[in-house]
Amino acid sequence: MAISASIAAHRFGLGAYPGELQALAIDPAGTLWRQTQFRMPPAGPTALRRALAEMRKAAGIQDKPARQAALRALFKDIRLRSRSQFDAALIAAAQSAMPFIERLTWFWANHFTVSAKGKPRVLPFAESFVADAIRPHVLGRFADMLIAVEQHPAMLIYLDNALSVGPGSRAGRNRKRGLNENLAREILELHTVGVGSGYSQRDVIELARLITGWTVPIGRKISATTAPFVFAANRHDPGPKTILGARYGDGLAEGERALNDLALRPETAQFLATKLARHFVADDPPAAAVAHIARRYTESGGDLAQMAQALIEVAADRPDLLAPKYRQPMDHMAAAVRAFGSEIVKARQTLPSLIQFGHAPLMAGSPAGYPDRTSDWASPDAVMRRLEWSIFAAKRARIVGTPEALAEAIFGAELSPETRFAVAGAESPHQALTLLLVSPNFMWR
Amino acid sequence: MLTRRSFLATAAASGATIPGVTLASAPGERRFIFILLRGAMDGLAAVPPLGDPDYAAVRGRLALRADMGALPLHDGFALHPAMTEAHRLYQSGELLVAHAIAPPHRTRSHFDAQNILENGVTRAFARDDGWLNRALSAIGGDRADLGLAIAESEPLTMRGPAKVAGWAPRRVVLIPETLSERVSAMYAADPVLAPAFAEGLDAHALASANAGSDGRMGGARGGRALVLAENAGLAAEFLARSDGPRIAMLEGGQWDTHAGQGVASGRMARLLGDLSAAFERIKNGLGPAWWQTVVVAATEFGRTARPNGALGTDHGYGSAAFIAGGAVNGGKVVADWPGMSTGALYEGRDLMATMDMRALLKGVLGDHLRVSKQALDARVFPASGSVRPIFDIIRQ
Repeated sequence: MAISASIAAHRFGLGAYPGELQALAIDPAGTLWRQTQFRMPPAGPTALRRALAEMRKAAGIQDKPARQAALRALFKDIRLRSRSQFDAALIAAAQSAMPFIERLTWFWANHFTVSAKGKPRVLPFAESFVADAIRPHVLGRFADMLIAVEQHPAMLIYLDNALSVGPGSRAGRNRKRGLNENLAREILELHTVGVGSGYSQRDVIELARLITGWTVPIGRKISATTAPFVFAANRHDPGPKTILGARYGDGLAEGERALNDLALRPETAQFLATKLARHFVADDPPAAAVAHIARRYTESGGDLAQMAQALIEVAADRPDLLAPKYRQPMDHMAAAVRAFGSEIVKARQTLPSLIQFGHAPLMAGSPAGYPDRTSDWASPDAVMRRLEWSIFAAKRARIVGTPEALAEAIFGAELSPETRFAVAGAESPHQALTLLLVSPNFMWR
Repeated sequence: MLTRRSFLATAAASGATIPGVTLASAPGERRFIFILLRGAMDGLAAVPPLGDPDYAAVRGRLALRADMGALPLHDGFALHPAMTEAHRLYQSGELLVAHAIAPPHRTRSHFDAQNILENGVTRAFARDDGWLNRALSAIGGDRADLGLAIAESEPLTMRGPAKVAGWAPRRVVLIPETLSERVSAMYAADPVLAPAFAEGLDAHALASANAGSDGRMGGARGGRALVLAENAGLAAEFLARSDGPRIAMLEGGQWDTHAGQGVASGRMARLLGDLSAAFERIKNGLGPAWWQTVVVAATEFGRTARPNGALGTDHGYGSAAFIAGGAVNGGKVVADWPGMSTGALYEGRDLMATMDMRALLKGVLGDHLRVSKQALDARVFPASGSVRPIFDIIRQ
C-alpha cells in the first residue's frame, strides 16, 4: 500500500504540525488504518439532559410574552456560550491524534445536517447532536447512526417531525393537526437512497405516516432517567404503510425497521459512497472509487469503519484517482491551528469567522448541508475573505525559525516552487506567514 | 370575482426586439437584478387570491382576510400586509406580479428545483452554467465587469464562461499592494485561484472606493433584520455607478416555512417585509438609474395550498414572482389563474403552475436587455423555442 505522508496528513487529516510528515512517513496508510480500528465510546447524557431541562424551563412558561422573552434569552445565552465552546472544540479537533476520525465526524455531521439558521429552537440540542447521534457511530453501523439521528431532538425539531400528527391517529382525529412530510422527505432525498433514486411522493407520505409520533419530551417532567426521545402512540398513524415496495405496520419498531431497510438498500450504498468519495477523492468522484466503497458498504451490512477502510484502499491502490480537493473554510482554519498553534485563532472569534465564511457548523442554509466542490468555496469573494482572515491570523502566530523552514516542515517534498518563492521573498515574517496561509499548498489538500 | 384571464399574448419575433440594436451597445444604461428566493416562497401567502371562491376554505387557518390589512391589487388579488413598499410601487406602476408560475419541473425537491431554475433547462444537474451567465455572454461581449453576484458563494445562475464578480457585505480590510502583488504571482499557475483572486481584487477595489470612513458596508441598520434588503442596497450601490456592473444577482433564504409561518404577522410577514424593503432599497440606491432597471424576484416552487399540521406549508408547485423597476410596465397581475378548487389544484394539493418561469425571464431579457430571440431560444434557455416570452411587461 502506498499513501504519501502528505496525503495522509492533508487529504485524510486536518493538516500537519511541523515535523508530522517525517513521523507519518514510516507508515502513512497504517496510521490511517489504525484510526479506523477504534470503537467510539457512547457519549454521556449530560449535554442532552441540560438542553432538555433548559428548553423545558423556558418553553413551559404559560404567559406568552414571558415565554418568548425566556426563549430569546436562552438562545442568546447559548450563542455566547457556544463561541467559547467552539474555540475549544476546533482546537481539540485540529490537534487531535485521530484527525481522520474528526474528518469522518465532520463529514457525517454534514451529511445529517441540522441547522439553527432560522430555527433557533435547534440551538440547545446542537452540541448533543454531534456528540450523541453522530460521533459514537462514525465507525459503527450506518443504520444505527441513521436511527440515532432521526430520533434526536435536534433533527425532530429541525425538520418538524416533532409536530407531525397522523391524520388517522387519536390526536389527529381530536385536534386540527396533521401530517408533516418534511423529515420523511429528507430521509429519502438526503439521508438514505438520495434524490433521483426512484422514490415517489407516495413513498414520502407513507414514511411520514410511519414516523408520526416520533417526537421530543419537551413539556414533560425531565428526570435523570428521561429518554430524550418519545414515541407518542396517540399521534401515530394507524394502518399498513408501503415504502419502496416493502410493507410496514404500526409502532416504533416498524419505523426503525424501515430505517434499517433503507440503510441497507443499494441506492443508499451508492449515494453514501459517492458523497464520501467526493469529500476525500475528487469533486467528480471516479466510478471505480465509488464502486469499491459502495461494495464494501454493502458486503459489510453498512459498516462505516469498513467503508472508511475502503476509502484508504482507494487512495493506496489507485492514487491516480485522487484529484485536488480545495480546503473548506473550517478545514483551512483547523489546518492553520495544527500548523501554527492555537494562538493563531482569536478567542471567541472562530465561530463568528466561520459564519462570515458561510461555513459555521450547525448553521447551514438547508438540510442538504454544505456543498463539497471547489466551485462552491473558491469564489472571488471567498478567496478574498480567506486572505483577509490570514492577514490577521498571521499577526497572532508565534514564528519560530524562518518561515521557509516552517513551510518545509509542514509540506515536505510537496512544497511547491511558487509557495517557496513567495514565502522566501516576503517583505516581513508576518507577510511570509500570510502568504503561506493562502498559498496553493495550504488551500489545496 | 376572479375570472380566468389570459395575458399570455406572445411577442412576435420582430416586435419585441428592436432590429438594429447591436450586441456591443447592449445593455448600455439598462440594469437587471435577479433575486433568487431559496426555500420555496409561499406564493399564496405573498399574493393571496382573495377573490378566488375556494381560497378561504382551502387555506383554512392560514387564510388572509381583507380586514387583516391585505393590500389590494387588481382582479381579486392582494399583497400580504407586510409588503407596503411593494404595494406603493405597484400603485405607481413600477411593480408587476406574476402568479401561478414555476420553473419547468414537477419535482418537490428544493435542490432539483433550484438547480432547474438556475441552470435554465428542464433537467436538474444537466448543466454547470446558469442562464444569467449565458445572458451576460449574449449581451456583454467581452466586457468583464458586467455581472455581480452578492452571495456567499457563486450561485449556479451566475456560473459560466462570462466573468462575474462576487461580493458579500462586510468590513473592507486593507490589503497592501506589496501583499496582493505577491499573492498574484504565487497564484499565477493555479487555474482556480489565479482568476478568483484577480476578480476578488477588482471587487475589493470597487468596495473600498464605495465604503464609508469606517470601512463598513451593509450590516444591520435600524431595528428590523433586513438581510435581503441590506444586500439589495449594496447591489444598488454597485449598479448605480456609471462604470459599475449592470447585472446583479442576490439570494434570500429561510422561505421553507414548514411550521408556524403566521398569517398577517410572524415569520412569513418578516420574510415578505424584508423582500418588500429590498425593492425600495434598490430604488433609493439606484437613483435615476431606477428608471432603466428591472428586478425579478422568483422562487423554485410554491407550497401546499392547505396548511399542514404545524400551521406551515409543505413543498408545492405554483408560486408567485415579482417584477419591479422603473422600466416595468407594472400595476397589474399577470396570471392564467388555474383556480383553487380541489380539482384545479395540482395533485389535489398545490396551486397549479400555468406559466413557465422561462417565459417571464425571456420576456424581461428580450424586451429590457435586448437579448435576441435566437439567443434566448437556443443559448440562454436551450431548446426553449416553444416557450413564448411574456409580452408587455417592459415599458416600451
